[in-house]
Amino acid sequence: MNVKSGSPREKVLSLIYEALDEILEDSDPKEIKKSPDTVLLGPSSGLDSLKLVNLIVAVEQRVEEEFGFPISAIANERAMSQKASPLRNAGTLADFITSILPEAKK
Amino acid sequence: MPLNEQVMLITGTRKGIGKYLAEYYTAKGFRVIGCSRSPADFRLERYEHFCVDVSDEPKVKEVFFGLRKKYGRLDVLINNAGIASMNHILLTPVSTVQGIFNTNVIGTFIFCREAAKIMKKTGGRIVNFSTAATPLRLEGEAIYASSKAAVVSLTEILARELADFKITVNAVGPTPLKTDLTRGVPQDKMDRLINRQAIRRFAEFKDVSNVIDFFLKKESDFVTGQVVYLGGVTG
Repeated sequence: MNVKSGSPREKVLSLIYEALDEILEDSDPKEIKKSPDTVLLGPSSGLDSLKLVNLIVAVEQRVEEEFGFPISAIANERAMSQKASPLRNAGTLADFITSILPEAKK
Repeated sequence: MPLNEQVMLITGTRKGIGKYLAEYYTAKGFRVIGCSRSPADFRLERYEHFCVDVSDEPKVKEVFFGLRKKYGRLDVLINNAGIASMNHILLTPVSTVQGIFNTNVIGTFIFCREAAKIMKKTGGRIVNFSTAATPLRLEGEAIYASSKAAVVSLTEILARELADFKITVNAVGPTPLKTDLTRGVPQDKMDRLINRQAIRRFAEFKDVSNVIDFFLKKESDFVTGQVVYLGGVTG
């Protein structure tokens, strides 16, 4: 396991970037610019619905491995009830996942 | 674990058909992970048992987390866990309805979702359990048959949603077997029920595993979204 340094949010963000690399491995373009502002949802994201599903699962599995307990990254009541989707960009997804970590750890 | 050993998860393995399937598939060389609400009173080679209520989402997620860490793969999921309750609708409390739907529908849903997350890299096979009671519209089985009708819909739609991941989703619909689920049913009622089948006899465990074997065959990768009923009952 590759232990990441930094705050939980920074760790989660780097795991999101790794997951992006994984799901874009076989596609064209193979890479997108990765930053907290990287758009994940909508036509400008470059991710179709299947890639988005793959991304969420890849992020969820990476976060579980890194932190050592299961989480529900998006099939989650809190995610569904938010007015603005946590999937808007890499930063909002990292914020959301970081916010559910304490509860998931229990 | 040998590299080519396939990993199978079966729910409801403490007794009845689930226990039979655990014995059958470990004997065929699968690594089988079983679960039920209470501990299993048997031991098998290549078998591991978890105590979990299939509708308890956090606990089920822990089982999958452990499974992924330990084996890193899941090839087959058999959603066998199920409960029934024969009763006239006028005598059926809501708590019974909730209990049946929790195990039969929500349990099946959670296991399908979590299994698909692991299977999606390499493909996999999911087999759900319906029942002949659904197409036969059996009186006294309104809630049980409704819950299994939901499982049929789930099977048909997940087959489409998971096709891109090379995961097939099918269901077997048994006619009455001699298990705890049918033990309380009066003989005359059972006879009438069996008389509605094209082939009039009790199903045997091997009839069920035969259908599952077909769904698991390598060559069955073009078979998905199907429900196979036993005994000539048609959907």
